[in-house]
Amino acid sequence: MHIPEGLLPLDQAAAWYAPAMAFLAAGLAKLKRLFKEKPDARPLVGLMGAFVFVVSLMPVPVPGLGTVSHPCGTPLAAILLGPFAAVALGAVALLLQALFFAHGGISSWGANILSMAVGGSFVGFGVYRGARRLGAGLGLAAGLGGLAGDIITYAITSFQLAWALHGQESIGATWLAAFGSFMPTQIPLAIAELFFTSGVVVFIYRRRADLLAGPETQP
Amino acid sequence: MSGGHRHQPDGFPGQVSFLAGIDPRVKLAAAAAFLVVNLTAPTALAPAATAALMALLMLGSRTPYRRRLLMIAFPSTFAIFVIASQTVFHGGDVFATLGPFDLHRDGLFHGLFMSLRIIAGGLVIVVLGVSTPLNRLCLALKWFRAPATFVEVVLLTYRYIFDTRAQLLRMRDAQRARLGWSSARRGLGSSRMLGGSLFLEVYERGLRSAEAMRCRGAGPVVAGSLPRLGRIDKLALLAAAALAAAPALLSLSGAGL
Repeated sequence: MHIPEGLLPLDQAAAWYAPAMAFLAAGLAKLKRLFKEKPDARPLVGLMGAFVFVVSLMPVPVPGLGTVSHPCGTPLAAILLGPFAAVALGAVALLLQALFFAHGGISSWGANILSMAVGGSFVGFGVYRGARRLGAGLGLAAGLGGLAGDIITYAITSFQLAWALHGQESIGATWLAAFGSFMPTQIPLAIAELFFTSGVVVFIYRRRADLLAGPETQP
Repeated sequence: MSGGHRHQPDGFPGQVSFLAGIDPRVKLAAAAAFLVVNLTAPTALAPAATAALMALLMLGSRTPYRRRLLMIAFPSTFAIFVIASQTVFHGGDVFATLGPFDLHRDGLFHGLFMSLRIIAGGLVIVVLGVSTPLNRLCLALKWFRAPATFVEVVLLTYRYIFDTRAQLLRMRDAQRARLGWSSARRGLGSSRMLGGSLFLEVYERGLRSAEAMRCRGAGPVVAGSLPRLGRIDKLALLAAAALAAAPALLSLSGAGL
């Protein structure tokens, strides 16, 4: 769920922007190096950006909360291109969604980057890598990465919403209320993202193993 | 990608009002100014004025109705959520009780104020989005010294959105023609194959078109640059600056916008 334009006060928007821009700069540096070393990587990068855009634009209404849930796609991008590059792709997808569908915003771009692009990519990739090191199969590890990346995205978004909207309630109680409201729709979506991420990674491994060049991708 | 252009989110700016002809740098700067005004306004008047102005500009942009509704759907939905959550959580005098929840008067007004800010901010972005083709927006970003890699990734992603969409529709139509729905288990199993096939199909096409573009001499960096600002652009810039500065000037004079 993307936080819309105008919801966050200026100071909170700035607070989320600062770390988000640092991650974005690191991601762009990584992509610049990748383009220099492998000019043929451009189609893969563009395709992953489009995947994140499409997957995170599938809204499912959240009953009671009045907003929408969606899968993220950033864990899959992180598994294929690494977490820093996935942050840059998530940021670009969020910007295009804001511009063409008012889904998200410009002042809330930093907050949305931190939840979906940074949280989804790093946690998804971390769980995937950890599971591989513990001996999990490629499909299981990728699926768990997709599931964890999806859930953490909503945990961070709930915190951002709680900080902005808690009023006289405590931030913790508001976070719990927001996160709890997301769960009825988000758990099925996270499970769907588990199957989707797992399935796509295994499929790509069988057909084009060269696209999964990291050491974690050995079966 | 037959029919792709017809569905482009920014496929209509070429045929719309005077806004489409204004330099994208002016529109970007004006949008940024209006967003800052919207976020810093202490009362509801500035967001209300911004929303009204943007609604007029959007009505004048001749964007198709369904598209307008689609674009404003997300901010509107969220605005309702904010009114409800603030009425419950924000605190203040209780004016009613709904089940386990106390409804607070101050919270209701605060929620209305925030929802107005969300609608106004959403409309600013919508007007920018419907009146500016992405390639011109990227030229403006380049002029504002956005990193070249960022601009390139924006354009790459944008191109592949349509490639992916076209391939997705082709595969969906093929599935509809050949298969019926059997079970959730089979559905999940086939989504893996369909997702993977979609990925590889679009990737292979992308490799071929990248090769073709390289043969034709296309470079990685966004080509072209924007011309100097014309008279209309300068007038639009002045008007936007005056409108954006008005709330600050009026609040300095004690009018309390």
